Amino acid sequence: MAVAELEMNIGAVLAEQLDRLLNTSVDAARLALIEAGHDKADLWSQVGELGAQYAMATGDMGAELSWQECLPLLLVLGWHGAPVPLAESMLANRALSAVGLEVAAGPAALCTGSFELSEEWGLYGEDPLVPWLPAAETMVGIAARGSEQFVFALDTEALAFERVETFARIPTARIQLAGVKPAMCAAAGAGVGALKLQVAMVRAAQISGIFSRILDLTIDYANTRSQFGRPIGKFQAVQHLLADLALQAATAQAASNYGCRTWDEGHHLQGAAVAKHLASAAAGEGARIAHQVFGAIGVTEEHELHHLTRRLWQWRQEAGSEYEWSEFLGRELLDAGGKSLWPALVGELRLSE
Amino acid sequence: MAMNSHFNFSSFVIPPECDALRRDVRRFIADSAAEWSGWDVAHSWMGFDREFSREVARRGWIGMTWPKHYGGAERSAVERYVVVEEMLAAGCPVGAHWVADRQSGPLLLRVGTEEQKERYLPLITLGEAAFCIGLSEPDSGSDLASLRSRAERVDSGWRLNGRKIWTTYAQQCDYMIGLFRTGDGEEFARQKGLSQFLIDLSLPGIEIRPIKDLTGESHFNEIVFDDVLLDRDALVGVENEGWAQVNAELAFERSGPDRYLSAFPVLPLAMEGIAEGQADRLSARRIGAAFSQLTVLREMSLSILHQLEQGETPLQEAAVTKLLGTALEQSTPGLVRELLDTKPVMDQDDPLSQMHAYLTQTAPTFSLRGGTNEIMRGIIARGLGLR
Repeated sequence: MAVAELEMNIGAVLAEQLDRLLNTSVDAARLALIEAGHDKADLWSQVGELGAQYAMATGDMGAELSWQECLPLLLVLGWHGAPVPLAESMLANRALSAVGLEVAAGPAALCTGSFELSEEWGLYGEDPLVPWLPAAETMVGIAARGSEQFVFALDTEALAFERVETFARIPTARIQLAGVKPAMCAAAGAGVGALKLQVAMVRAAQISGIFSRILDLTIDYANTRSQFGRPIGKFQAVQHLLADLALQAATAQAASNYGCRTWDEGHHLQGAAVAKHLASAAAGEGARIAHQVFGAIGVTEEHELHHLTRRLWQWRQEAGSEYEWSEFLGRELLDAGGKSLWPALVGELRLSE
Repeated sequence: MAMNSHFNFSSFVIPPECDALRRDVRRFIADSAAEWSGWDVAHSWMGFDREFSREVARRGWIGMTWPKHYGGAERSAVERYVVVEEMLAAGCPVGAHWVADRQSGPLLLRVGTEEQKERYLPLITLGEAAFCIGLSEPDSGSDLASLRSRAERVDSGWRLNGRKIWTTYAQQCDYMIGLFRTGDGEEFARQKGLSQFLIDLSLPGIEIRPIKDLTGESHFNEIVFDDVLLDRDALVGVENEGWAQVNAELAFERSGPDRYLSAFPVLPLAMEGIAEGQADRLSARRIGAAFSQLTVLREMSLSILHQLEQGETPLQEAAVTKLLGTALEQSTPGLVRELLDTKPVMDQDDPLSQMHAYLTQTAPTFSLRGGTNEIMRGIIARGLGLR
């Protein structure tokens, strides 16, 4: 492949490589091990070799990919149930490199809570939900000192945290910082942006990716599971369930496309809010329909469906639920007045800008 | 297994070059809108106003993508989209040119004879030829392929017999493009043997009976064809290929802004109806949710527009967009009621009340016209590999 072509398609190429790697190394049994915290083989070292953790980073190490370019990668990650903190590491390195700090090769966790940085360089604050923290080498966040923002990184080895059980059963922790000094820290310019918005965008894309897989599995089941002498997919009632599942998948897909594009155009808040609202709302309805089609087998421990639906229930809530984002959008629109609705829809008026 | 996506909703953005056109359309609408009541506005593309259509035509906005030779303006499909979405957002009465501009004209351009194009397209672009579509029959609704109205070959051309029903504004239209059975027997499967005809509705033997609906108005009609004689050149496209021709129109018909904006004009008014500082968090959520849904429907609709321009036929994506869009339109009067506890009255002095009244009573049809929800779900399921 020519260099120019490679550069143009770097997001798609990385996505393909990641897909191939996860196809051969991650199945439901592996996901179960990861969730139980018993996965001894080092999946990260394989994933890390692809270099995708630098996809959004700037500078020498980074590929500086846009959100639209990264979307295929995030979809693939979602499709496989996000078995490694790759998206979190991409965002961590994006933030670190944006302020000139050294990027992290190893797995990174991202905290989206609000922290303060004292004059003595001590960090204060808490985040009740930091996915992957127990499995990460680095934790990256943003702290405020007065009106100034700082990107900080902490080594997780010496960090005290409290494990939290989540629906997704991904290693997750609550963190409380009371004066710990960051391993690295630098003042942030406007280029960094709110981490929560970025995680919202990532989770929306992951929801879209995992929906493709759930839809495939559910179609396959409807075409092979036989009752009353024929595949259940022959019944119109079941066909309509599948069509409704497809509507949810399509919504999440178009919402992720919109979010990434709108973000790349510079409208971060509107892009992330719309994408996360729609993806989160689709997640619950999609999980409900998939389980309805699968019947009792779908809720068993041995069936792979729950690894996927538990992630839908997790991701829809992380970085703002559909309720949080729709309320945000609604209040913005009500403040701007009814006459603002159409200009906001056609992109003449951008929310909170 | 490998990553697989069932739909293509790749982004397409309206280029900034269209901004001036958008401003022109808004200025034009602002000049006309003062005369419209809330009841009128809520009609959206069901509002039939010849004079308004002539004014639109005067600005070159009917058939605007068609060749200049036929009266068109040779503008792009995305420019047409801008004109159409602005008009629907404002609830303009576009009904007198809607079908011809969206469907009948493009059909003639695609499969019509040179004589048909020369004769009808310029009339359409002047706002002087209103078209309707004759598909459903008393015994053929969703099961369209079962239709029985017949066109027989005679020396002078064709003879029509049968009935069409639910034909929107036939009583005010000049022409119908109707689907009739032209061949049957062993050699024709159900969907074969159907042909499209362009019918002058003033011909002898045509009786048009308006059907009053639950709003008290007559939007659709039953039409009886009793030995109606058509010239040879009334056939549109290829004899016995009418089914395929009709289906080729559907991606256009099902993915346009008319599938998610029919109820839009009431939303800004409903937002204004919430007193300042009185928005609770549940109201804010519902408004934010409607905004997100509209946003993504427009994203889907524009994506399909672009794919159609590229010569693709995204029928699955169009079915998805129609289902989601009409669900949103249909839920809109309920949203207004939820936000404002709107009374079940028609207050002639209150545009919001009139819109709410009209939309509540017509919303049931939103998921019927253009293919019912159930038909759309069947199309999607088939596309997913079921059946």
